[in-house]
Amino acid sequence: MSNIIDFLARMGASATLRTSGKADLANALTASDVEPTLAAAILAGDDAALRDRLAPGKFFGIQLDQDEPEEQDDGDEESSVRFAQRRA
Amino acid sequence: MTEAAPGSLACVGVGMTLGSHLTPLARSHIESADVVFVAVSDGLVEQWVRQMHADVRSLQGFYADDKPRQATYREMVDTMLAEVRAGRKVCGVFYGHPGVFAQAPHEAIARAREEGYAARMEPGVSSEDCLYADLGIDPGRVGCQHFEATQFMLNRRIVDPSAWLILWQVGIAGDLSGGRFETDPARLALLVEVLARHYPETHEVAVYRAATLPFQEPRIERLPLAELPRIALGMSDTLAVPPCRALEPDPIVRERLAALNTQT
Ligand SMILES: C[S@@+](CC[C@H](N)C(=O)[O-])C[C@H]1O[C@@H](n2cnc3c(N)ncnc32)[C@H](O)[C@@H]1O
Repeated sequence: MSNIIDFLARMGASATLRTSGKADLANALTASDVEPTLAAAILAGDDAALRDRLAPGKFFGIQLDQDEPEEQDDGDEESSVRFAQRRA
Repeated sequence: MTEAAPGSLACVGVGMTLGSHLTPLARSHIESADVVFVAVSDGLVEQWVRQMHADVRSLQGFYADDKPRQATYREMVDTMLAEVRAGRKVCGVFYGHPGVFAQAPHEAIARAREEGYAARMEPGVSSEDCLYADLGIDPGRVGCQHFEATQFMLNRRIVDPSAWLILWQVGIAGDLSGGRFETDPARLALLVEVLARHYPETHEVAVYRAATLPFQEPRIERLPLAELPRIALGMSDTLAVPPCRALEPDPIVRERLAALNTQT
């Protein structure tokens, strides 16, 4: 596991690996001893297969919402006052 | 005499792409913390963060389908603050920029400060930054406005169709329950109607998704506005709407500036 994450971290930080063609990437994967099925997923650009194997399950990326989604008709003045208070 | 170590909080971003965007300062905050909390959108990115510290705790467990997201954000904040109050050096790790379209980091920092603890945010590379690079947009050329998709639908905004318009969280557009993690063609059709007040339905828009893994290509799908309800959108997609009008010159200000020019 740490092997493949290390490889991804190294690839992410390497101008050469990020822009190299399939053959160079395949060599780098072999040199790093990345398991063949995982290496094949990377070469195929199959991120879903990689996640299924190593980090299965749903990952949530939503992090912002209305304070009160149902509430409407806030007077302009009132909401700008609340905004100012939060900033203070 | 020993004093209890004062707790502190740092919220940092790891950027969008695993391995590519982490700043030295963010890494240092992670490595020097007593405890690290992580809320990122990709399980492999979470694994990467786990390798940086022995005590990394995921905030993903607070999410659940149909659970109000406000409750999730509250729990994230409470969990981080409990450790701060226990005197620990806490680092909250978020994907992208921790303060861009993200509620818990801002709230946790505000509350920690209210309670007298040191708290800071360090910027990260946001999906917005990746969008400019991948779509070749410079927000300074004609201007660029950003809205959260559901908020954009629920409120009458002043839209400038001579600038770019970027809609975030379009994959949950129109969710009034605050607990759904998807949208559907009916809600997207309504979003198209709202946008059609300002743009022709034939106007070409782009769905954008930055790579979170270094071997991925970004999603860049261009389509006419009216087609939006027919495509699949996920939690990580952003909608980019190019301007449909030229900038409108202001002759009065131009004249006044010209007059100033001749005077000075
Ligand atoms: C809660 S916000 C978090 C944004 C994050 N803090 C950042 O700096 O990009 C989630 C929204 O950000 C945008 N987003 C997240 N991941 C993205 C990606 N990989 N590519 C493009 N946009 C993304 C989408 O609009 C998504 O709905």
